This record gives sequence, structure tokens and C-alpha cells, in this order.
Amino acid sequence: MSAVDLARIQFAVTTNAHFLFVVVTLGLAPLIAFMQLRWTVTGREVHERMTRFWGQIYVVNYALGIVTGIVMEFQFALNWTGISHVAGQVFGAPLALETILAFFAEATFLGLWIFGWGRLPKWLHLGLFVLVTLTAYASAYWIMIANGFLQHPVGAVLSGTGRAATARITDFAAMATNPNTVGALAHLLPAALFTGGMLVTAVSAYHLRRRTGRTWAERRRERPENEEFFVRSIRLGLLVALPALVWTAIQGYVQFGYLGADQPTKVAMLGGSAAKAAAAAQAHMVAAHGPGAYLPPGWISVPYAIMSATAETFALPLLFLLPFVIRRWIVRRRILLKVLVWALPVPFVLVVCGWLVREVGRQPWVIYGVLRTTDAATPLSTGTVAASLTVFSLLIGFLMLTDWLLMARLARRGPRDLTLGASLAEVEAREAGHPEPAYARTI
Amino acid sequence: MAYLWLTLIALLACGWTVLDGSGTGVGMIAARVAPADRRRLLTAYGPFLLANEMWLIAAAGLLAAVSPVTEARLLSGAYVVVVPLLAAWILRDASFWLRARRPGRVWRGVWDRVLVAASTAFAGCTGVLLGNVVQGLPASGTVSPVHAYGPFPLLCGATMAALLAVHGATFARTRLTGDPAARATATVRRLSPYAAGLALTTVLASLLVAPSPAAALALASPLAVLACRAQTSPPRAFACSAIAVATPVLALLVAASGTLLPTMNASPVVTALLPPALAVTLLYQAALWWLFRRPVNDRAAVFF
Repeated sequence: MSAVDLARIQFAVTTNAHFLFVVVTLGLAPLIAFMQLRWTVTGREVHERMTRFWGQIYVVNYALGIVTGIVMEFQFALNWTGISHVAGQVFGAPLALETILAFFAEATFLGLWIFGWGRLPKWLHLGLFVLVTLTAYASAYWIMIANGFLQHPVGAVLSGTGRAATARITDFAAMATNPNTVGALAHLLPAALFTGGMLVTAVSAYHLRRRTGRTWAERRRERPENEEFFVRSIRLGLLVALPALVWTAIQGYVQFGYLGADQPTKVAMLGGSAAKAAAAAQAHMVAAHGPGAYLPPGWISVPYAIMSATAETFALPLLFLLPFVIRRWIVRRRILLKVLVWALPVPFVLVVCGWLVREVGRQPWVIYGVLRTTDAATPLSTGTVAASLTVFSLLIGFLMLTDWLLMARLARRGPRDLTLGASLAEVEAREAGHPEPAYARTI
Repeated sequence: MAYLWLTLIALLACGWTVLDGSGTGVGMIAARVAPADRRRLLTAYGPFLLANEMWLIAAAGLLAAVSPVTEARLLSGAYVVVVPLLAAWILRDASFWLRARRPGRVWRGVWDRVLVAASTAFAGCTGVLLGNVVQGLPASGTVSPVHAYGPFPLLCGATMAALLAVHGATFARTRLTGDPAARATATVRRLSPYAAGLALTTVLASLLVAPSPAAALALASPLAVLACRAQTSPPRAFACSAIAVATPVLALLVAASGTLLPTMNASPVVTALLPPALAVTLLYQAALWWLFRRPVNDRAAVFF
């Protein structure tokens, strides 16, 4: 394997790791904002506990989003300096604006939200989480402007060719309204909401199914622990996940409206062994860019098939589920609940499939039609890149696994002994095995 | 315009060493606080963790937008330093987040050790990276490991680690009371002479490696460390150690300004949006500092 291949593997590993946590952040945030809104308006304990329980899962997930994001930001300047040389100012502009306009605010407000619990006025505390949600979505938009530029460079002029070329922005509005940015965002954001909704649904289904009785008859009679808590949660989760999935699927297909013209080689390969279309796309690219191999690997038709098959087979059973959100109808449907628990990996598999189709599908280009991946790579020795790949893969793999196990543990424990929103005295007393001091909850 | 960009990058980079550096320092001195008080120490720093590390992410982002070639040369040129630096940063953050997620002495003990080791490595790698910039990075290609970890960069690494440990301890003094605060004060007393000695040696050594009038500015660093040892007021001691950690970075940027300024040039959209956005950022950052300016008490919200 060459250094370029290793650098590509490192990019794929870190990006997908980042993406798996980011979709949960984007998907859970609006749900938590809604829970906290209900808590702020009604003052009811169940809404407070919902905000804290799901908020805690959100924050533990966030840790890995940040950590993997650090590697993401810096590896462009480590492994892909060709982008900096050719289109640094164009590509760097949305990324710099993202860090300062969105990410900075999101991180600061999240810190305020976590540590301002019980210290800030209720509406201000709610406002902080609304800001966290909005800035997270703004962040996604800025990143997709940068990514959209790589997919279909518009709004910039280029002088020179290959690694010696330089680009500068001529029309930022064109960059910001690039169909490859807006279209992908319209597909990605509902996909994130589907992920967040399914996460809440699956965890709630697990708790609604879990009873302590010994025999089947006993377990059937028993009421689930925290029934109201999880019925409310699963209702919210399903009501978000169902329309989000349908919307994701629609927006997935809508992208073909412009992809056929903007990225003919990607579209040609999605049909699998459609040799005729592929040969036509290859001939078209040779005519435009000179001799070379311009087709992405044929296997991208597999993740594409997984996405379209799931969209088509998953939506109907979910529609069947819809009536069960009425009252407590879902509580006794033990088989249904079991299916929902096991459906948890589905959104995550789809998210990775979507990434593979979009990002592997534009190969051999980093900036489609402008800069080849091989020209963008930093000239490094194979050993150097291999060492960095090993360090980051092992580290991120280990932390991902640890974080997921911790999230599973928190999810399984249910809404008791929550850390988020607790005071120092409360947590210290809990760990020392003493009852919680009364004053801690009244601040 | 180039002067504005260099000023903003200097603001973000020095802001990062002062703010996030205090978190790295807190991580380094965590083992000096009694195990029962470590949650309190991490709670003291907790509200700032996310916000503070944004300063480096923003500095790198701004550099990527106004001088992408410099960013690429700095990071890919010092590849063998940047990779361990990022790994240490990740582990420092992970130990902050994951330590409190489970009870049990083994779990907490392991993450405590990771926190101290990763914070020390992060501080050291930052110093080594700065040392490599002083030595000069190759115009293309990457610096060899032997050169990157030569005597001068290693001296810079040790200095940065010592300065940040003192800085972390002065931060801990401002937000803690009782026994952990007393231990932090003792740490400042014990470490500051070494930190001052190392800082002075580094400044003098830099005159041999790459003489620059900006080194005079860096002389403020050893003086400020000694001053913070003498301070009894925690906020003033923190201000002194902040000067001590920020001045070397500032001196480096001043020394490099001649080469940096001609490369700096941003697209109009960045020029229009970024400076006002940064001003707003400073406002809500100030709100964060003001809100959490007092020492933590039993009613403080926890997470780490």
C-alpha cells in the first residue's frame, strides 16, 4: 500500500468515527430542546428527568464527537496539503467561519448549560440549549459548504493546473447555495434526526420490555418501571424518526437531479454493472481532462443498494407502528418492542453507507474535476503515514468502544442516579452511600 | 489587513495557552490533590474545558483561511511532533470526560494516571512544536525525528510543561478552597523556581539557535513565574502565570511576523464576517468567566 492509500484509510476511519457521533449530536439536540421546553413550561418532574437522562447520553456522546473532530480538522494540514496549496483560501474560508461562528459558540454554550444547571434562570438555561442546537446545525451547514465545494467547485476561479493551481473565491453566495451543499444537507439533517429518534426509541423500547417477574404471565401483568417516562420518550422518538426517514429517502433521490450533471462518474457507478453508462462517463471525463481512470470503485453500488433498500422496506413497518404511539398501546407489544431495540444499528449503518457513496463516489478526485486525490496528498513516506494511522486508529477505536459501552451502561440504568444536573454534594453523598442531602435539590 | 490577521491569530494563540493551558496544567497537577478532592478540581475547571480548547481550533482554522500554506507547512512540516500532540490532546480530553462515568477505584485511578500523563505529554509536545518553529521548519517535506526532538526542542518542551503546571496550580487556587487550594499553593511554591530557571535557559538558548530581538519579550516569562510565587492573592497569581505562559508564544509570533505577514491574505467573506464574529465570541466567553469566577462549593453542578 502506498502512503496515499494509508492516508485515505486514516481519513475514512477518523471521518466515519466523527460522523457516527455527530449524527447523534444533531439528532438528539432538538429532542432534548423539546423536552426541556416542556419542563420549563410545565415544571413537571418527568420532563426534568427526561431532559437530564437524554441530556446525559447526549453529552457523553458529545465527548467523542469533539475528540474525533480534533483529528479531522488537523489532518487536512497533515496529510492533504495539496488542498491547502490549491484551494486553501477557498476551502479554509467556510472551515474558519465554522469554528468561530458556530463551533466556538456551541462549545461555550454547552459548557454553560452543563455547569449552569440549577444556577441560571430556567428560561435562560433553556435558551442556552436552544443555542447549542442552532449552532450545531449552523456548524453542519458551514462544513457542508466546504464539502460541497470539494464535490462540485462553484463560486471560485482557478488558475493553473494540478498542484501548481491556485483558487480564490469569486462568488460566496454561489458556494453557500451550491446544490451539492444544500441538497446533501437536506438529506443529512433528516438522517441525523432519524438516528436521534431511533436511539430514543430503542432505549425506551428496551426499558418498556424489561420486567422483573419470573414467569411470562407475571411479566405480562407487571407495569414497566418508569412507564410514563419511557412512553413519552418512545412517542417522541417514533414521531421524529418516521417522518425523518421518509424525508431522508426523498432527499436522497432528489440529489440525482443535479448529480447526473455535476458528478457523472458517481451516478454511472451506482447502477452496479451498468457498463454502458460507466464507459460513457469515462469517455466524457477523458475528453475533458485527458487520459486516465476516472471511475470510482464499483463496490459503491453496494452501500447505495443498502440505503435504497432500507428506505423502501423500513418506511412501511414504521407506518404500521404509528398508531401505537396513542396512549399506552405500545407498552404491551413485547415483540414490537424487541424489534425496535434491535433496530438501533440501522441508522448507523445507513450513515456510513451514505458517507461511502458520497465520498468514495467522487474518487479519483479530491476537488471534483480540479484536483486528484494523489496530487492532494502530502509527499510523506509510507512509514510515517502508517505510524500515524496506527496511533489514531487504535486510540479512536478504543475510545469509541469505551464511550459506546458507557452510553449503553447509562442507557440501561435508566433515569436514576443521574450525574447531569446533580450537585457536587449530591454526587459525593451518593458515592459514599449516604442518602442525598435535602438542600441539594432545591437550589 | 495582514496586520489584523496576525493580531487575531496572536490573540487566539496566546488566549489558548493562557486558557486551555490552565486546563492542561490542572490535568498535570491532578495527582497532587487528594483523590477525594479530584472531582472538585475537575469541577473547578469543568465549565471552561470545551470553551477553552476552542481557542486553538479557532487559531488553526483562522490560519488555514488566511495563510493555508503556512498552516500546511507548520503541521505537515512538524508531522512527527503534531501526531503525538494530537494523540495527547485527545487522551487529556477523554480522561476529563470519561473518568467520572463509572464509580470504582480502579477505573478512576487509571483515568487519573492517563490524565496526568496525557496532560504532561500535551504540554511537552506544545513546547517541542514551538521549539521546532524557533529552529525553523523545512520549506517542504517534514523534519526528521532526530532533529524534531533535538536538545533545543526538548528544552522548550520541558519549559512549557513546567510553566503550564504552575499555571494550572494558580488556576486551581482561584476556584478552590481548603485543602486542595493549599496543595495547589504548595505546588506553585515548589515548581515555580524550576519553571523560571527553565524559561530563562530556554530564552538564552534561543539566542544561540535563532537570535531575535523578540527574545527580550520572552524574558518576561521567567520574571512573571517568580512574581506569581510571591503573590498571595489567587487572581493576581493567575495573572502572573498567564503572562508567563503567553509571552513565549507572543515573542515567537513577533519574531516570525516578517515571514508570516506577506503570506496572509483572506477572501472577502472571511474579512467581512470573521472579525465581528470574534468580537461577539469574546463577549460570551467573558460571560462564561464572570459566571464561574467564584470558588466552587457543594452546590456547584458537576459532570466530570
